[in-house]
Amino acid sequence: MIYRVFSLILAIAATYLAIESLKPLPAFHFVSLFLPTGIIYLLFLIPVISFIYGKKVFGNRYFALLLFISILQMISDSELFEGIIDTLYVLGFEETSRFLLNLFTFRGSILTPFLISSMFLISSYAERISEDMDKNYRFSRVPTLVMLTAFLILFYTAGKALIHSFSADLLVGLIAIFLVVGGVAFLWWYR
Amino acid sequence: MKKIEMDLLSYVIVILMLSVILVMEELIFLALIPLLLYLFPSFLRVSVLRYNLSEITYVGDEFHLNAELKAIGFGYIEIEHDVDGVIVTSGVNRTGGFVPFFRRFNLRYGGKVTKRGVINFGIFKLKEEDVFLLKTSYKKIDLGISKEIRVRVMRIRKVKSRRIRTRETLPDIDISRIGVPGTDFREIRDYKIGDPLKFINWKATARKGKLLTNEFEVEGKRAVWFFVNTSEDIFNEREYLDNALMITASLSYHYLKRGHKVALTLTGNGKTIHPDVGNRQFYRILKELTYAEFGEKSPLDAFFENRKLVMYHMPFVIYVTSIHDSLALTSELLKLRLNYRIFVVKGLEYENELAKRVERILERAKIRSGAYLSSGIPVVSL
Repeated sequence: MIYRVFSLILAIAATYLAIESLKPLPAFHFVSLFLPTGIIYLLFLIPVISFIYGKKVFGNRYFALLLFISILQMISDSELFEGIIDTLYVLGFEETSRFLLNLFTFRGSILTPFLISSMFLISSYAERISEDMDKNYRFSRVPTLVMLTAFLILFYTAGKALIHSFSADLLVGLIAIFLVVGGVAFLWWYR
Repeated sequence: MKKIEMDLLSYVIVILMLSVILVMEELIFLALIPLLLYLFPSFLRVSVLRYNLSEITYVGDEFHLNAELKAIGFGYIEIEHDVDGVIVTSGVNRTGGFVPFFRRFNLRYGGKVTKRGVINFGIFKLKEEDVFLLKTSYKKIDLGISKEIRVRVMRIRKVKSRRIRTRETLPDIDISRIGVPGTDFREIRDYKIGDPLKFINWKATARKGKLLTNEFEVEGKRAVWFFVNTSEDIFNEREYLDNALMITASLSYHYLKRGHKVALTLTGNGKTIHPDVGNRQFYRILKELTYAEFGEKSPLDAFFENRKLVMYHMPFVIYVTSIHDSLALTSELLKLRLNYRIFVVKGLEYENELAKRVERILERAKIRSGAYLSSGIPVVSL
């Protein structure tokens, strides 16, 4: 039970982070002209209802939604978004394309999506541990959560340092090699 | 696939879909996390430092196990001392936890042996998991500590017998039909080919004009032949078998100690130990009972296989069977004019009230037909 409560806390914290990341966006202020801003806080209800009904507190779809909200701040980096803007511009909707670009000018860091992803992972672990504890005799799995948190902090710190020290293209290349090696290792384990 | 693996997979799919649809390569970094978790090395090695097991000989004996194990590595370990045919009476037969490079585990518990035969008490089952719960492996440590668990021999309780229709005493004072002739004179009878010449009574022969011979009482007590119903049947279960074997072991000990020849036939596999006396015969019987299991043969088939031998010895037959047996064997014993006693053994107690009532009716019917009902300490009549 305590693991599920922990999972709920993480889901609420992730929701808070996602909403906070949305606030600096000009698009948020634009939408607030038509809709009450308080409506966004209804998102907090989703994990609470899931908790009460015994469902997975931090579900996959909810995670996808929060992740999408959190990456809206950096949507101007998206090639798809740039493509839409350029298409509108070429088709003669210059005003609309400029307006859209101004709505999503804010460029946040990847920290918020990373934190939400981390919270989702820790929450998933906590929930599965809770299920295991209920089923049969088990010992404390707190070390897993501690190790996972430590690993995620290390991953973010190391990733950030790597991005700053290498060129991004080189890093993407290294990741591709790593993915191939990792994929082969993964297949070897499940052969 | 574990649920946590499903979660990680769905996480990767969400990230990849978003990064591909929006064409944002920054998000791909996040998809690396589960893969790195999979690649996290896991290593665990477990060894037994100390192992103490109290003495066990018979079924039903209580034992205490005290073991100390050492684990080296990083991850979770679950250790279980899982012995087939043992129930835990005190403590827990498993331990485990997180191993941060080095850890010792103590396993202390008490148990009761419920199975006969050779039991390996030296097996530890290990379940190893890495710290992120993604890789699980099962291992076994076998110390090779095997013990032979024998059928328990109970002390026989003697009670006064009730009056029953076919009253037949147990063979405590009966004399053997075959054996070495003693010095006690029994009678003079006609000479038969094969009789020793030294026993010819010459005076009586001269008087009667035909060969007559002296007959003497033979030494030794009457043989006792156990037929144990180990034939497969829908109602015959393990509890019944264990009780039946325990009663057979106890009674055979009782008669062997009193100088009777004792023989054994397990009806299930038709295995027979021929009549003999002494401690060696008891250990032969005990060994056979220790490894006895249910078999396909019917009690009648097993009896017909041994009929000639049974007729030669004319023993007192003790038929140990279950409450559900039709007792078809007894009609054969009656035809051959063999003295017998039936020991009806109870098995598992039924939970259903109707089944309990039917069982009670069967019990009464068996007692009326002269059977002994035995559920614990074997009883014989005086």
